[in-house]
Amino acid sequence: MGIFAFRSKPKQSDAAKEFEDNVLTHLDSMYAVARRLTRDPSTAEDLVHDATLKALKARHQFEPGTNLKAWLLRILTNTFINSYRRGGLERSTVENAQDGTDPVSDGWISAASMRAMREPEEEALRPVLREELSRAVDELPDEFRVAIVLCDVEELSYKEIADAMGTPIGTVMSRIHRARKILQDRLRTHAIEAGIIEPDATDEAHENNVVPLAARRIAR
Amino acid sequence: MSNCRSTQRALPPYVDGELEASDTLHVDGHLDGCLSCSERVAFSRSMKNALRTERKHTVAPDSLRARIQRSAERTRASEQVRRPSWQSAIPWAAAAAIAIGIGGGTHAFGSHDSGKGGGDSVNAAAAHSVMLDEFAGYHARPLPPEELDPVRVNSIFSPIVGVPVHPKNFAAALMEGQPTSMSKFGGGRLMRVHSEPAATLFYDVDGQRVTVFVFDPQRIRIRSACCLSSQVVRSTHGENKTILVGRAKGYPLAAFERDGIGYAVSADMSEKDVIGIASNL
Repeated sequence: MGIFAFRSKPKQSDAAKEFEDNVLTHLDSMYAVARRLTRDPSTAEDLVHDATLKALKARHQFEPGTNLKAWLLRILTNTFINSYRRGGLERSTVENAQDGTDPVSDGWISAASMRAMREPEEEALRPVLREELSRAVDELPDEFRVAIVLCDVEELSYKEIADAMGTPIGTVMSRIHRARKILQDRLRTHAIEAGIIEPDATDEAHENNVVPLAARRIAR
Repeated sequence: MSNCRSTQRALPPYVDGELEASDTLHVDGHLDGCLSCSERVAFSRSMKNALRTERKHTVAPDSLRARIQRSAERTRASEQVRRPSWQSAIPWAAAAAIAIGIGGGTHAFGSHDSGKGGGDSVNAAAAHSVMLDEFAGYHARPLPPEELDPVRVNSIFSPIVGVPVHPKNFAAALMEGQPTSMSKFGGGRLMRVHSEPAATLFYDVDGQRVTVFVFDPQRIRIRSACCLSSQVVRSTHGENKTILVGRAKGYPLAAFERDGIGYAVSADMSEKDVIGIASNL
């Protein structure tokens, strides 16, 4: 039996260690996403720990040359969806919302309002709204939050997000689109409360439809 | 001439750089003349930027890195030990099967195993009562499962534990003798008992939690654990079986060994029911 003990082991453990080092270079990304998904620092640590160990054990399944970060975030997302989410209620609400009519208000925000919520001449939100955005992301339903976090925070491609979430790309697109709408609505409400923008007449008039906008452009 | 409505659908992929080149040109053309849509794009980008900036300020704690490295180290170490012992597990299992054959179908549980390190000291006995606590603890405070798919549990866990792990077989066995029962597999997780790997399988039987542990009895030597009493029980198939029964953290635990594989069961049930489950596994 003893002879088996010497079989090509050092090499294997070197490779395992090297893989572990590579994986750990993405630890901040995994932790940042886990923080966003779990909304709790210590649960986030457990999630990253579990997902990382799972990745290390499955290292033979990783195809060298492909995006390691995307692969790790896929395992992280899977672990979150399968193990860390309490109950299936959120999912059913969201899935129902996806077919048929849109329960999320399709508030049309005027160009002036949108500009007022940004820093002048920059693609950056006003600081007051940045904090509100962070809270708003936390309150998104799981499926929307996962999509927007993988997309905006870690900049995965739609394909990579679709793989991570186990959904078609079309679903990913619609989740991102709707998540942004929810976030925009929240920011607009907050901006009005904070006195940054006025709930102006144009906003009200176009609240439920984007068609009048096109009509207005033609009239112009 | 594109309008805002048709463009609107293309804006998220435009913002995320996911549009084909020709569509991108098309949207660019529209944005040139449409203040509203270009503000929309700028606004989406500013949200994206805000989230990314926050991400840059998030750093994983050093303690997390250390914890992962420790766990990975343990896994690697056990892989190194495991590989030879796993390869040699086949002759061991065969030997165990022969021993059982001679014993006439009764499992020689009480007998001393002939494996390495047979002489258990007092220290080892103390360690083994900790082992009982560990088993019960994993039932008392379960961690989320690592794998939900029974097939994957089998393929991933078996080589690590060193004995075959078949979650599906138990789901059926748990309903044995109780025709109205419903049992559902709720996933599995690898745990360390006395720093050796054990597959921990979670089931729901009529709303009560049942945890089944599968392990290599050469490595987790439950037979030498103190505080366990041995009982001979008869399964619904009329098969006699020796089961070790104990209690820790308020939960009953029943363990036995078959064909060189160790099993332990704990559940939100009475000791009698747990023994009943173990006798039919």
